[in-house]
Amino acid sequence: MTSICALIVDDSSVMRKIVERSLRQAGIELSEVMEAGSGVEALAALKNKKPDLILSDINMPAMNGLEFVKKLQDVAGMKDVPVVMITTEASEAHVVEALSYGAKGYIRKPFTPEQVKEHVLPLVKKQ
Amino acid sequence: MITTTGLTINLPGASWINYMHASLDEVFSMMLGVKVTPCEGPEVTAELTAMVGLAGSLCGLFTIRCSSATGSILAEKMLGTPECEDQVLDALGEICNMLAGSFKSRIPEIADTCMLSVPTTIAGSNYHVHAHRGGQRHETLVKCDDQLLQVILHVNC
Repeated sequence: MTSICALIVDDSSVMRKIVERSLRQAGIELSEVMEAGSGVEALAALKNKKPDLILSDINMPAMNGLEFVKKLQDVAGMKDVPVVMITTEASEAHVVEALSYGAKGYIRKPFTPEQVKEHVLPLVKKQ
Repeated sequence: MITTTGLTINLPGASWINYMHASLDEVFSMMLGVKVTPCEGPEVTAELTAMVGLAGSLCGLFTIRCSSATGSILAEKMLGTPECEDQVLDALGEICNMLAGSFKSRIPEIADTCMLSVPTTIAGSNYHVHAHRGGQRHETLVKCDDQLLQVILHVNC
């Protein structure tokens, strides 16, 4: 597997670090990690670089994760980037909404590195 | 029994605490790699506070309080070495967020219809929380590697 660029979107810098660590523990080699604290920041970051994978929280100020995933579908060249939601909001309604907007996976916080591996590795291997 | 926004949640008082303990077990074992045990003891020196609001089918506030030393130890268990006080508060906010999420997911009546706020954190102890009149307060004290953590759930009726 080649190394990838991941965009981690979460308003908590602590959680961004934990997600990055979990990706590395899952055996995913990261050539670059882009970080954003909201959907707005994430969309701005995507103007500079296209990541290979996006992991996004839902509950965030400015623009939440569901709005971000929805808007992502309208950004040229981003439709094929797999998005995995990592969030405490794991209600069925949220999962269905996120998947309908194009998210490819859903991980509920709290999570283990094994769960990250299970949900993310197949998406990375496809690339 | 709690009636909130037209929904009746039939839970004896002990059940709220049991759900809080189950959430503490889940979050601390998965994210910090430690076990928490309920305990009785002195008042927590509440120098750090994290809060997450609940709105929708259940309205209230989930709060955790601890000393600065405990906050640093918890952040260290999550992160390795926290770089500054902001990261300690951020870590505490995330712990509270996950506790509130885990808690609501255990109660089918509210799992899909109760929303969480983003966490709010406070450094310092000179404040008062004015809870909604007629609400319920459920509180537990837990120990994690000899560190005390107070967990409070205010439920508005």
